[in-house]
Amino acid sequence: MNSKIKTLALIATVFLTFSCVDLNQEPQSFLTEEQYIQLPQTIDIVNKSVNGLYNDLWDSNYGFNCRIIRFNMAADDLLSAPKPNNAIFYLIDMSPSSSANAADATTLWRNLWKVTRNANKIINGIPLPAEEANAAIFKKTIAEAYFMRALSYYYMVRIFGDVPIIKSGEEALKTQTRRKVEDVYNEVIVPDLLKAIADLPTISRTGISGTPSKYAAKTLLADVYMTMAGWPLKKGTEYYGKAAALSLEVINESGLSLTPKYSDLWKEARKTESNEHIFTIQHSAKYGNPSQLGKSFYPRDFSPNGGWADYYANPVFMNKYPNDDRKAFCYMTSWPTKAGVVTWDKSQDQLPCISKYYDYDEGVAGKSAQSNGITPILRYAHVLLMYAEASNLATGTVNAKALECINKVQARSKSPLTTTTNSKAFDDAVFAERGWEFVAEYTRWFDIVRREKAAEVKPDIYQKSLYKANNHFYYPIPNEEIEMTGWANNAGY
Amino acid sequence: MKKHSNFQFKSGWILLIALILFSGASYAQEKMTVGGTVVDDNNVPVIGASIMVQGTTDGTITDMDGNFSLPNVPKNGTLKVSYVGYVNQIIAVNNQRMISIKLLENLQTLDEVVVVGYGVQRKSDLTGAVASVKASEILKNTPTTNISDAMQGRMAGVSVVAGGDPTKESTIRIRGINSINAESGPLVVVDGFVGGNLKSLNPADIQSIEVLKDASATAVYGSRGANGVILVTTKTAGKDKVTVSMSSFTNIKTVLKYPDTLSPGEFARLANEYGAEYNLSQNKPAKVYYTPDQIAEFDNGTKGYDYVKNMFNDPAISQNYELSISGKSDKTTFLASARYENTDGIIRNSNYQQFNWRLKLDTEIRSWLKTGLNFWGDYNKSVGPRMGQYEGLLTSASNYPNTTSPQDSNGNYNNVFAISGLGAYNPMGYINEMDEQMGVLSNRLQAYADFKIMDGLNFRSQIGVTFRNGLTQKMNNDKSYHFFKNAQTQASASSSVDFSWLNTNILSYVKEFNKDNRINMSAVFEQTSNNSYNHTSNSTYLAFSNLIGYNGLSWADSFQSSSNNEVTSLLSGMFRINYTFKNRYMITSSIRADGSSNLDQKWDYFPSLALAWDIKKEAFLEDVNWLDQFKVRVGYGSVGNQSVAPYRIYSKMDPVRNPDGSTSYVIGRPKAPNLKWERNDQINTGLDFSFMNGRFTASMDYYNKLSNDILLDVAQPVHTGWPSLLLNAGAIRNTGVEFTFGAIVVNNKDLKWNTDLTVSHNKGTFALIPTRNKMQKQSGLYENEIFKMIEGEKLGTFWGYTYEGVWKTAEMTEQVIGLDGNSLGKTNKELYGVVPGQAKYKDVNKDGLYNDADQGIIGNGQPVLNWGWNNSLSYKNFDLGLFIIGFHGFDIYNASKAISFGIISGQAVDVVTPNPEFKNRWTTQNENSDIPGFVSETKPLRGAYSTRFVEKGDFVKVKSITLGYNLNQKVCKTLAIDNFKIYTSIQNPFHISSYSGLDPEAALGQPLTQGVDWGAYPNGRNYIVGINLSF
Repeated sequence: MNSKIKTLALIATVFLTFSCVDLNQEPQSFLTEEQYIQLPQTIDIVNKSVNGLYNDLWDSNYGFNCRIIRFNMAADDLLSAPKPNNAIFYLIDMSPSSSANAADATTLWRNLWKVTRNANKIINGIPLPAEEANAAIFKKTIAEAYFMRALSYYYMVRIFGDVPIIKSGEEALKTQTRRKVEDVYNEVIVPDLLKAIADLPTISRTGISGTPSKYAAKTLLADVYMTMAGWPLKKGTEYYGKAAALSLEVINESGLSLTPKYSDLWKEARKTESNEHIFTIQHSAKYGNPSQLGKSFYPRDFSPNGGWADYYANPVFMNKYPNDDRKAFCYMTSWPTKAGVVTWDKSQDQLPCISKYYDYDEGVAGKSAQSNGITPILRYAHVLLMYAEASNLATGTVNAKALECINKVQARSKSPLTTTTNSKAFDDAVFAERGWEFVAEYTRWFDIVRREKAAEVKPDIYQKSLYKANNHFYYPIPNEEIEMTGWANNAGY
Repeated sequence: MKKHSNFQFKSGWILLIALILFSGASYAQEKMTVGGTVVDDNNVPVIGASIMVQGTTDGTITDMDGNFSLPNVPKNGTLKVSYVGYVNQIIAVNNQRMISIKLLENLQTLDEVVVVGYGVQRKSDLTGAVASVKASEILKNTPTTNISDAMQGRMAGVSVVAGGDPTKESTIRIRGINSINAESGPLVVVDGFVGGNLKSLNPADIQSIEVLKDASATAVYGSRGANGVILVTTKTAGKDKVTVSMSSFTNIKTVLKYPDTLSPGEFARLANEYGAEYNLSQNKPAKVYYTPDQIAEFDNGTKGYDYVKNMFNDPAISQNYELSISGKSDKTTFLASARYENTDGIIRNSNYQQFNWRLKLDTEIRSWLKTGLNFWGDYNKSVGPRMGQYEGLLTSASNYPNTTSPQDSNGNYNNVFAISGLGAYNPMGYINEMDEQMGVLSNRLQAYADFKIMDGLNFRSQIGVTFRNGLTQKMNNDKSYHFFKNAQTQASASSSVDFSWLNTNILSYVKEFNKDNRINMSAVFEQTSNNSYNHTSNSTYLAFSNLIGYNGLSWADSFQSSSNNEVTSLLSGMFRINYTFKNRYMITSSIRADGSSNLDQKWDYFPSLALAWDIKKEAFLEDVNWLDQFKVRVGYGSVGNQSVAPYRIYSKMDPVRNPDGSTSYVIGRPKAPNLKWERNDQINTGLDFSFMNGRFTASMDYYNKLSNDILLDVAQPVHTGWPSLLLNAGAIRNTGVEFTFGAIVVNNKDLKWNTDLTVSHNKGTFALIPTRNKMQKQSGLYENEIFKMIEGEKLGTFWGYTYEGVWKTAEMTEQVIGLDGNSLGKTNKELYGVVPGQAKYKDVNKDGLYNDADQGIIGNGQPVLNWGWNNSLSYKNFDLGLFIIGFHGFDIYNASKAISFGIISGQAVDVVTPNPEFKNRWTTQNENSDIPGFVSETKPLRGAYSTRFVEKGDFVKVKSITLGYNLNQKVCKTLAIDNFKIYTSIQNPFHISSYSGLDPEAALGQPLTQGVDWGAYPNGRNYIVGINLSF
């Protein structure tokens, strides 16, 4: 009897406890990439995938928006506060340090490759529907990925020089070498933009400048041709001709126009307007993708909320700036401090401020590091000034349209109009005009480099610079990348 | 019946031996009844001692007063008196009817039974490296709220590092660090239930702790054994009557060392010197920050604020109360306990509270069936200001200009650096505006059934269920740090619900066939499943942050929520056999199979084999009486480390917010296919000695373990798609030697002196780093940036520049000599673009640039050696404990100091801080200083880590001095109590170290970043007063 109970109890216990756990546990709170790709690829899903690319370009609080400003600190429009340990001075001195500026180079490097990687996934991974009408709709969105890949490589060749060409995930895993800048233009940037021009809609998918239209692609390609015409490829008149032709197409066909008031371009409430802003990164502090356009541009002694004083205006540049509406808007030359209102030359850092982005500051001056606004990348004003510059350089003559283009930009801001038809004088005027119009828009340094004007704008600094000593204008490729690939770094690092 | 159960309960195996040895036939002789008393060496009656007539099965046990009466004893027979923990006595009857017997305490511990995982073993039969301590012994000298503190220095090879933060568990590592990405501490097993943490235990509930150190011992835990195993056994009632125990102590914690800072007046003068020298170096007029009148106000104390003093809570009080009731009836034992702890940290507004409860019931239903129920748990609540590495309180308060008062006349914080004018959050805001708390409730319900199937064969099935709930609430108002940084108020609440269960089934066969053959076999089937769900709601732009905050998260302009659910499971089978031949040859072998839901290659096998030989038992040593044991052990085992995050074998899409508020999905991480267990192969050899009836004991162990396939975020060239991929790629080798030495120096009636010394040496090196150049920066921010993982080098290697002091004025015009000994044709000023007075780093290759080629190994944070020395003295009713530890052979990167000089990237301080070292800076009159001057550095090496802040970390620390008084047993009797003790203790009274920071021990707290002091929470000097009472 006893042993029967014993056996029964034992068997019951064993039976109760021996039902096995399941060792196959799939994630419940997220989709895998494989699952996501296998979802029915409706246009909504495709749109969401492509939207991710803009987040990839934004990257992080101290991502693209911050690092591209810093790369452009070599230009003559901005300066920084003499704060201790301020690594911006290496950049201002045109002598980046692979250690002190490691975060600058590494962030951009990772940032741009991330865009490339994910654009590759979209370009190679999204199957087109069989039905042609649907396929056309898909293509319009996927064309944005081509645009973004081209943009990403365009920044890379200008910031890092030779880089590998990777157009798919499989290629990424093979051993890659640094390819010549020219190959990158010819094999990726130009073909991708031609594809984008073919497929993108004339008005961007979202209706705002946060996603590209056909004309954004054309404008970018024109900009690419301008750069190919100048340093380092120096393809000259042929490419200025291409740039002029494309710019003219945009002027004639796009229906884009200058915003009547320059200051309205920089209003938080109007940042989605897309008549002039052709391509931008849109920022929102509330939704967690802020810009660095807040505290960074305020002076240290600003009251009540002291800024970070990372970016000041260069007074030399400011003093040359024609007195127009833009200047009045873009510069802050006196401000409240604890000791009352001071003018910039009496202030702590004795430098004037760039006030262009002050409306993005969540309504409280100097309060937050996390601000709203946009990172401007392409504007209609670029198109007008590109035509002016390229048509002149392509032909050696200043045509009426070129004059009209520059004058449009000047007239808006009540700036003195350029009248010369002397090719050299006109070219100088256009170059200067780009400086005024796009002050602190992170394009000035690219202009200086492609036109080889570094020695002209900051002669003393250039002569002593790493850029001059090594005859290039590139950042170091991040140390880790060099160590892992065995590539030769850019000279001087 | 009672006799039988007592025997089985207390010393079943003694009965076995007695039966075997003395089962011969009795002789027909004249018999009588013998009575008597059994007392111990303190003349206290011994209850339940066994009295056997030699050569028969006749016997009895002593009653409550130690008395016995045994009939039918041969007049010339002999009695054997035994009691667990005492030396057996053989007494000739010699016609005596009354015999008084005094039992002597057995100092040898060889016959003790130790827990080895899924069973117990005789200590003398152990083949692996197992350390064992009794909780009562370690708690006597180190009264604590957390048992892991008391384990410090007690067991060789077990490194315990305590920090000052009352909310944090001490860091315990056994024989070094075995992994990088899956780095974690040892597995904790409480009463046979796998998984738990020591901080959640009531120290007073603990009976003993065993630590399985080598792989031959931990292999029974297979994939979970790589980091060692801590086995905790909780108390069970031992006496026949109901016992109530109470204990309570108060811990008064004081600040051992304040960060050294200048007074506000000195700081103001320094600031003016800065204003003069800094501007002068750029040919600008001097700037005066403070007028003589202001400085006078700082000097006479009417202005200025001591942030350092006000950051600390001196003294901070900790209180601990504990109550337990236990008892035993015929077949049932029970124990109920409760505990409450309330501990303030020495940093203001840091506090930890914990409640513990336990109800444990064991009963014997039938002679072949035992069951038990154990319900226990804890609730804890932590609060504390921001102590993290990015703008944490300690570095912030030490460096904030103390000429600035915390608030202005309107009550707003002065959030600005007085000298540079840059914004900086006021340290007192961290403390005053903090509104953040975290509570965790854990309940465990555990039950078992133990069947005795036949002689020696047992089946035990147990199931444990754990319910865990967490709630974290935060509110950041418009004066908070969060608001200062983000210009928005914010509140959030996160809750988690974890449910897990564990089922273990053990079939064991323990049989002593005869004197020479003993076998102990176990087969285990185990499975566990864990389901954890968490949810966070976050609101920003609150309408009424202080009035409502996290209690009404919808009173805000913006909300976000997120949630996550994880389910994991593990299925295991294990078989182990331990065979002892002739009491001297022992072999243990085990194999475990584990299957995990976290991995791609789910199943793996973990074998072990260990041999031991007790040479003392050989014939040629039999007559060496002073030697009790001389045992040689050799073991090999292979174990795994399963700390892989769930779902890591899958790729992951992440939702991201678009600027228009919509969401899109991006690839968050690639999948990590082919993930498998990290595998840890270890050999261990050891020697155990015991001399003079256990008066002296010594053990030494050597081990060599190779952790292969360790999980590593292996750096990848970024252009290949990802900056890093999680791979089973690296390898770490740990080798080490451990010594344990124990002695009972004095042992007489009044005076006893026990001393124990443990010494551990471990060397952990990277055996494989799979990148092209065999090195990789340690991933992670802040203090991780100091470390580089280099193949062939030790873990904890600091990487950086060599600091060469300060550029002197004369050096500016000196020609730079190249590596070939020839001049480079440039002066230092031309090549480096430096100014006199700025920091000088070694340009190794003389190329004029500072980059990776100029950096190298600058230190190491991994201690070579650590030791603990414990002394227990008792004299009559007093006892005295002294406990000292030491850590040697490691460096500390004094990042706290580096931050005060403003040279750690991203750690904002003012251009001048109240660091007194500034007084000895470089000036044109003090050219030989190695502290850079107030000059405008043209090419600063921002964020450079260098030898400048590497210091020797070696320290010897007196951990505790404890004095106790036990009330005399006679007095206790008259008061009708069992025991009354009052004691006082000083913890961390002082340490000896050349380290200039606050607490060298606190710098060792993070295993992967050991040796970095980055504003670590220091230990205090604690004064404890407590009482223990039982009746």
